[in-house]
Amino acid sequence: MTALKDMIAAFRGRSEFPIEVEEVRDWLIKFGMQDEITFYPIEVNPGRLRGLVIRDRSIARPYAESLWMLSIGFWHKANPCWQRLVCCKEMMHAWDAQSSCVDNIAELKALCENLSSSLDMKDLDEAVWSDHLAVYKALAVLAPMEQIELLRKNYENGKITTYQIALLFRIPEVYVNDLFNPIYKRLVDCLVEGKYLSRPHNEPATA
Amino acid sequence: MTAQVNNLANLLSSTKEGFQFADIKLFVGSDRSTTAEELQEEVHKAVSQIRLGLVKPVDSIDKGIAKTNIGRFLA
Repeated sequence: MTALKDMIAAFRGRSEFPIEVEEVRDWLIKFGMQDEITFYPIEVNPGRLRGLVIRDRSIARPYAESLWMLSIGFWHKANPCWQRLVCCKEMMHAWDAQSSCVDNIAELKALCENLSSSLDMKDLDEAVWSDHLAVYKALAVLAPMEQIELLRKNYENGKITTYQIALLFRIPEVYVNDLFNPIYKRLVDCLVEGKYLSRPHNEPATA
Repeated sequence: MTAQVNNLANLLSSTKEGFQFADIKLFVGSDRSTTAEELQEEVHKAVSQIRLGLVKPVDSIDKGIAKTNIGRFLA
């Protein structure tokens, strides 16, 4: 299975931003992760739900790999930065392990309960874990660490603002300070190398 | 609420012929007072719009968006 790090490598060396959501979609389709990815502008209460993804899989066929379809809904009145992050985050679920899939109503009810409650690490299950991590995977794609490091000095000395950085990458400004947090850099290293993808933080990774 | 849950289950199962529902994931909003029932209600609304064809898909989110060279911010 082609990895997140391959996608990030494909966009390496860029000087022009933002990376378009269509580029991410086209990469996922081209390199076999997904066969169809469709975006739907939906009417929801964005304070409660900004977006979602429904993944459908082809019924098992002998001697053939599964086909995957992603239907991604995003709040139709969100500003472009939020639309982009929601769509990109939902595409990151293409990498979700089977163990984190929510494929029945009981698990969906549990997901709603866990996502709506205050964060308690012992209650995290794989589905919730993958939802939280997918946001950071999307940010790692849309605002590559390579470029974050280039901007770091001017960010830290105040020569560029969080607004300017948000506009450059076309991501919500609320995430910009996170991108320069050393813990975020370690998280991205873990995500890109495939560690801790499906485990809570207090379980050791395998070698 | 049970009727809504049953309806949601039916909607999720009603996919293209030859396919089966495999996963759903959510991007929640910033309102931390949202209850599980309220979140489920929004999921039901969203899934209905997609599965019943009540909204048209878009070809592009941001194709052709104006680009900026990062060099502007490195001086």
